[in-house]
Amino acid sequence: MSLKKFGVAILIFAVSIAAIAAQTTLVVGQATDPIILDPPMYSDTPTHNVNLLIYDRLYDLSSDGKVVPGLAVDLPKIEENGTKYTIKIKSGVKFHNGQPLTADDVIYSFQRGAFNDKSQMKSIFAMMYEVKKIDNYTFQFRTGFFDKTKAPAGMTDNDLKSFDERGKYYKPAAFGSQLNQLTWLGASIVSKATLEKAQQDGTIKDYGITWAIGSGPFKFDSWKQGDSITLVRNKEYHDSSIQTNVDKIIFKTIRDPSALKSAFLNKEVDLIMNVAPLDAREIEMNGGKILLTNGYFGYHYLAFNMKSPRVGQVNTDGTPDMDGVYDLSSPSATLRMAILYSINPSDIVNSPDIMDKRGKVTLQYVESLPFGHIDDPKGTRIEEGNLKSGYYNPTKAKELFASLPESLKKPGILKCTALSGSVYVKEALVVKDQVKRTLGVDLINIEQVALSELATRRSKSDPEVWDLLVNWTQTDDSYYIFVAFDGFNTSLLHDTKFYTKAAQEWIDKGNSLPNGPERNVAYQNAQKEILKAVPRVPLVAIMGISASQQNISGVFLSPSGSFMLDNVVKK
Amino acid sequence: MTRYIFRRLLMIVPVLVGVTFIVFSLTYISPGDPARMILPQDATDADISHMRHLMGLDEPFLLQYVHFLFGFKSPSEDASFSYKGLLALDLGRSYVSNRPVFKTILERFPNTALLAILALILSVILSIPAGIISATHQYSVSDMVVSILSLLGLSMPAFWLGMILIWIFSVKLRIFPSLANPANLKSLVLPVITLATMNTAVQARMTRSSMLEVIRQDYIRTARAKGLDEKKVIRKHALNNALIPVVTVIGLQVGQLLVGAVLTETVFSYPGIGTIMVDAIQRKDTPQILASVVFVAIIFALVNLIVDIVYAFIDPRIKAQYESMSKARSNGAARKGT
Amino acid sequence: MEKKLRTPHATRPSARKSAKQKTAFQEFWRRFKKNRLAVAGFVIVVIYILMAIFADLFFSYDFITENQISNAFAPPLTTAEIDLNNGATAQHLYILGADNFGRDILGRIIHGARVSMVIGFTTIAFAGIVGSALGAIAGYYGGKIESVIMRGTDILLAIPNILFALAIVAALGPSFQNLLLAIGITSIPAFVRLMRASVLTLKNQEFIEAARALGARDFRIIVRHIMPNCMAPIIVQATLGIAQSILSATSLSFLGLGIQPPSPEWGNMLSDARSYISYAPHTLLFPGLAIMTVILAYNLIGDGLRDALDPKLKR
Repeated sequence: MSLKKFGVAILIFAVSIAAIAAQTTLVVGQATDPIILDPPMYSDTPTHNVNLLIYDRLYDLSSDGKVVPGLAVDLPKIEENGTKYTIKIKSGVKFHNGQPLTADDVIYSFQRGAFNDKSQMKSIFAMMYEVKKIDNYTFQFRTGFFDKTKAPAGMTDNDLKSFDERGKYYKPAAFGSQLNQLTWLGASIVSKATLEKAQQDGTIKDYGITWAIGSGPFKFDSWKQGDSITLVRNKEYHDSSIQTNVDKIIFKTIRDPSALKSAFLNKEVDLIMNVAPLDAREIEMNGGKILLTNGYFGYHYLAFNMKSPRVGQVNTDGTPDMDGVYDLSSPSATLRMAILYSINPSDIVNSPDIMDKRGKVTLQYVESLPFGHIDDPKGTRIEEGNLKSGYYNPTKAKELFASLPESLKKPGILKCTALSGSVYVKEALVVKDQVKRTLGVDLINIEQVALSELATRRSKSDPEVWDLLVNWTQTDDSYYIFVAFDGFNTSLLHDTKFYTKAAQEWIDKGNSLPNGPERNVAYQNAQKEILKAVPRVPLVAIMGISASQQNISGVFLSPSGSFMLDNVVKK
Repeated sequence: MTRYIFRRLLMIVPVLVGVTFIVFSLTYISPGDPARMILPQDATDADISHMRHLMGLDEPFLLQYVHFLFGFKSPSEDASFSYKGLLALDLGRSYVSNRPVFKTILERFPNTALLAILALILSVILSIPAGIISATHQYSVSDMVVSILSLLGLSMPAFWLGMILIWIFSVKLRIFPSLANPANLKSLVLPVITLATMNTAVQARMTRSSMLEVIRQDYIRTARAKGLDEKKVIRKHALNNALIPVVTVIGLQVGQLLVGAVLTETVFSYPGIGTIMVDAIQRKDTPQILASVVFVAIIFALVNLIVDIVYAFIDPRIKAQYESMSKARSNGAARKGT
Repeated sequence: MEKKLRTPHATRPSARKSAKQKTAFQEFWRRFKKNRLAVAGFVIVVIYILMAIFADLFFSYDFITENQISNAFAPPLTTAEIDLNNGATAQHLYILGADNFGRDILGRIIHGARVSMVIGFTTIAFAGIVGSALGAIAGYYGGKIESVIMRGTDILLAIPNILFALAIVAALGPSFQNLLLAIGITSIPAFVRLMRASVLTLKNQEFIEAARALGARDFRIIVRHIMPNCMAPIIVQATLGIAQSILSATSLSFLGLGIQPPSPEWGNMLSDARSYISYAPHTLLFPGLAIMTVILAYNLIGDGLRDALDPKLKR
């Protein structure tokens, strides 16, 4: 070996060492492990944050809630009264394993999200049918409903297992939220060729756990369960306009919130998500940056299990009344009202341990986004309340409660489920305390349950016990009112299953209209109808709180509270 | 001796069967239907009973226990419902993460073992000298200090001690991080101290009382009477005998350390087997609960087994006893034969 | 009537025994009293028991479970306004400060003493009775019964205490009853072993053989003659067992698997306090001190009892 060669080798070695040393690593602390890096299969926030970087979607939401093209070239061409969408996607995009991304992958991803047994994101594709490829980079689909009259007797929507089959029995209907929904993580694009091959060789069962292939700005590198996930920069990312200098992102799982905060204060992590308000105070004092969502992104509410016969209405034969006409003078409705008037949500807002004043009392279900938000409170229940103490009115609460039969005044007759170990437990404790103090009876028993158990509890709710659920939802799109209150929606956390004919008609109308003022009015009217029966007591509106070190820039929070890290820069 | 070991090994089999049976029964009677848990909320009763069939949950209890030990082949095409059983360290996949439960456990067990071993070393280093000094200087100031500290150590809940240490050393002084990670030795200082405290206390007390007992024995008096140097007496004669029961206690503590790690790991959010367990319980992740509890119980039983065997080697009395016993037995057998 | 039917032979040993017992007790008390630490432990335990019994005299249960959000995290010795239920307000001195919901920590510790004492006594009473009975049966009868009981005990011992309790509570769900059951069951084996060992040493002693020869039934022999003579180690074990029970209960509650808030319990008070270490260390400090002192006290008594009851270990 010549001296020159040796010198070159040394140089290369030195350069590569320097390169490794100069690698910029961003560490994101999260409170729980992501569940699975397979977009339609799960969507809690930690999973969201990772998947947003690995996968691309056709459209994304900007920080102020606008839909912007991602993999799509432009906004879709929508025709035939809003029932036919044509979307062109960018050419030359490659998956992390080098496979090109084409319309086939998009159709495959949608098909998978819509019909895979384990998919939790079926609702995104619930109205889609006749999804067709036009050319390699263009595709088309229609939206509509299952039409019973077209189908043979006994067939239901659930029996249809592909978009083509749906084509035979669907009739066109507009779905104004469809575009917003394509920005959801569940509508991410996966590689058809890769997954079909994995299906054959059996490696599919570890997909999203030991391997994951997307087309996003960062590639999956490794996952140490319970500890960390490492992503590395995708040097061939199609969108060269992104401005990150980060080569590696480590998502570190730190279960204990106080440990997470200490790790941040000790600069062991660069970014943390879902900071407790009390911690935010301390972080600011110690020179960290606090990132907030643009407006209130979530609503905490007390939901009555309306499917449970005793809470909703019962037909004479004991079956739950599903026709959507509620007798607001029945004892169960009276008790619901008594509870509504017993609660003062300002305790939740003011409690340093819960919101530390970073939030507000809310009187309606959709607070800050334009859709469904009621501007004129006249003629609604909102008139009865105020933004200081909600609907709190102890005199009225006691009056209503006094009129109830003794059987509804026993301690512990209401069971309130709350996600175990979460802030909802604390809110439930506040609610329990207030109900007890206003009505003089400790009506509520709190039960902490695991996420996976919530579904079981709700579908099997004990007819002898009422269920209250402290829960939350986020309104990253206009679709909220539909998701939360549509009588036919059955997604996991949106459980109230509340249905009134009048509200449903407004929701249907809102759904059929494209984004715009008319649609807002429809959703507002739906909310007015719902507020009459109060299937949920609105409590507080929250902001997403996250924190970053001072040397980090370019991070913003999506309206749903996830980190958008495409342009993150670490100095 | 081999016979003793063999017998001891045989004895562990029914114990392990019993342990697995109890833990399995507990999860069996636990309310909440796993089939419902993995199905969507709107699943029909037919869907649920089909899923129960696929998961083998419609089989009789004892057969399910056999499946749990020796494996289950699901009629489903989805391979993730089948598992090879406890004997093959395969109890299927977690309901939450969908990963093989034992894979997670085996990945994290070394972390817990590391914590336990460090705590053990620390406790031995501290407790034995403390116990000896305390015993040889009975009623002195150092004896008082050791006795009081060990009583306090015995009475302090580990999780509280851990948080107090975090408060002092992470929040106030900022010397050690408040969350522990096996890759960062400095971060292990606080959890190791937390975990070791109880053991140190138990071992120091044990060493002290065992030493006191030995010192009062005749042969020590004789040695002293012979005019031997006090230090020599302690080192040569007393220590060896006094340490035998201490070694047993230490051995038994190894198992306790593994278990005590549940609380310590939670406080320091350390990625060990304890946090897996607490997580799984909170999420009602039945396969993961079952696997981690059974795993820890088995490790605990095995550690105790090893301790017993080691004990037999170091304690001449047991050895002699056993040998004379087996001699007697073989004599008896011989007599019967004639 | 029954007394007269007794043979003088049968009464004599027990009469002699009770006389012996009395002096033994005096001797024990003399020795126990000399151990100042043990007496201190005894006093502490008595204080806690009184606190548990008379908790309502200090603070009403309603008061210590009701929120006063505006006083959240008030530091010790703060005087603040509290909201009474009738719409009026009052001044209240938070001696040990307030927790995250503005509840009085001292009050919660006092009411928590009730929970801990009940757990300690019931679980150990249960385990002591069941365990001693099983141990006595095993030791007295031997044979198959013995090996069944002892194998069962081995199995229970093979599962570490806290782990087993954890598994029981995880399976049955967190509640007060399940907590008692879990801790009670895990405390049994120690009593079985102790009782059996004592019975084995006593079984062949003269006075037992005498009783047997006189035709006393097994049950009577066990209850009247054997049990009283095995009490010393059982009492020591029970004392230490109570400490262990309280510790297990607080540990489970700390993990969220025991007593649920808003019921006051030392462990669940700490479970909440963990998040506030830096703002409100008093929420962490005091409940922990309560646990520590009570367990220390039981340990001191346990040590004192052992020394007093076992002349071999006399200092």
